[in-house]
Amino acid sequence: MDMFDRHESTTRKVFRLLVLLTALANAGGNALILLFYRPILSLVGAPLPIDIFSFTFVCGFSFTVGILAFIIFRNPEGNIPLVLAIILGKGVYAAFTFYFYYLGELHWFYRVFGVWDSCYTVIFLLFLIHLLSPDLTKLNSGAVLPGVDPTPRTKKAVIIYFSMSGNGTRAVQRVKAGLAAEGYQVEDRLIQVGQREQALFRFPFQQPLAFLRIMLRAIFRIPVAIQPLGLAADHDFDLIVVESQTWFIGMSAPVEAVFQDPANRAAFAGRDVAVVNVCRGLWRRPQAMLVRRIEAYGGHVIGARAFANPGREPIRTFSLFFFLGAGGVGKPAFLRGILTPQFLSAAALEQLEQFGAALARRLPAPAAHALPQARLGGV
Amino acid sequence: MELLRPPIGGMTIEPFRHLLRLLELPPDQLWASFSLLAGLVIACELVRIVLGTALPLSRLAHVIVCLFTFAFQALVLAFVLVYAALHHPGRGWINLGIALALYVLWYLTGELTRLVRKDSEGADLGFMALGALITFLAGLIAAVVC
Repeated sequence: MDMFDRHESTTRKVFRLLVLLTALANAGGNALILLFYRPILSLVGAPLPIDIFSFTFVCGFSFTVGILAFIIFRNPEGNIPLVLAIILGKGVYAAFTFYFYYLGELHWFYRVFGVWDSCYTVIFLLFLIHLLSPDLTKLNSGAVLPGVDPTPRTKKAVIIYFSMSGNGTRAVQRVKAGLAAEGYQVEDRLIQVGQREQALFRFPFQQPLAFLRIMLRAIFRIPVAIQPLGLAADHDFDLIVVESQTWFIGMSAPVEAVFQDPANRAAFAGRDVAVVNVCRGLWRRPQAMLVRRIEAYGGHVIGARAFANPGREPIRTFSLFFFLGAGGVGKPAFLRGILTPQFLSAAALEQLEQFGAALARRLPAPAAHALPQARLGGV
Repeated sequence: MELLRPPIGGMTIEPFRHLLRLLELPPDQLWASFSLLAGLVIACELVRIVLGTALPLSRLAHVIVCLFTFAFQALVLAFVLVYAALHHPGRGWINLGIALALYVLWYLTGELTRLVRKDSEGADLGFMALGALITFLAGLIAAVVC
């Protein structure tokens, strides 16, 4: 077990203990309150409930939440929907408690439960963040997984990418160099946007409001037509690398278009695939989109790397907008001294080259994982 | 329409009136207002980060992520600063301080996620700065004018 695993394990332990605590507090506490509400309310100086039905109902609901929490404690990964249900339940309870407290209609004793539930809403949200997509965390730790494609290696790879400003091209070239250093023959394929929209996706922007149009399309995930990828189902590449830039917190439209064309499904089915994300700063969602798109087409993601442009925030974000607006680096000239670079750092490029080499050296598919039918697109 | 009138006429709108009143940042209920906005800011940031890896192919989830990255919170806080200045003139500068505290809380919430997930991006200070431009520009104008 390495440092990374131990860190995860400790975090998981702490969360499970917190979940157990609320399970006991909710289930045990409400059972006690139901049995001893007269002495307890008298002790804290709270009035007896006017509507005993509602009081009992709320206690019963809260008791049930405790049971749900205990189920989560037993198997967090297997009960993600319950985590969501508890987030909603506790969040709503806390919101209503505070609402009536601030209206002056609730004794302070009940606010304790509101504080408890608001804290636990945050705790469960954090736990959810911890639990979701552990495969991506593993990939982001630097792991290159063993291959899954059982057919003999051809030592040929193809890199599929789209780059407007050239940042992605630079990244791809270094992955290519790393693969080539380990004896791979590498072909790179720049995705070509369809004729009708080609002018829109050209940098520096040439069409009026091009940036705004691309931004809105990216936010609402409006697909773009691309020219056929030309990757046959029986291609002889033993590795596919897909590179994508971040466009408004998602993968770039031309790369996504590859996975919106069912004709490309067979080319990915059962193959070893690696992904590279290049961005200003946000890469998690674009990476998750790309990985899940590849998996939906039957590809097996064996490695993932994401790199952000160098520089400190917030000037890095403003520099990006100046770059996109002005159509080049170092513009406007009077801000040249503070604008941050729009291309990956030398260190990041070096790591990408190492990534390429690591992909080439990936372990072969274990026999147990062999999927001879996979390349038929039957995954 | 006649059938619908009685239930619509009897609809509960009192809570929404109370919530709107809290958005005025009234001096007598400042802590309640702050709690409400703090809850909103924390929830938006955590939902955004949850959706960083969840529902990656959902268009709706993506739109929510884009909104919660900065636009929604920034616009709500800008509205609050203007609305509060209109209802309680002379408190614009105090309200700007409250908005600043909320931005700090927003940032800390994002950074907190780094503790629970090693590959979390944390808060996005870049987009938050864009949001701050919207919020504080509106707040400054409101503070000066009102």
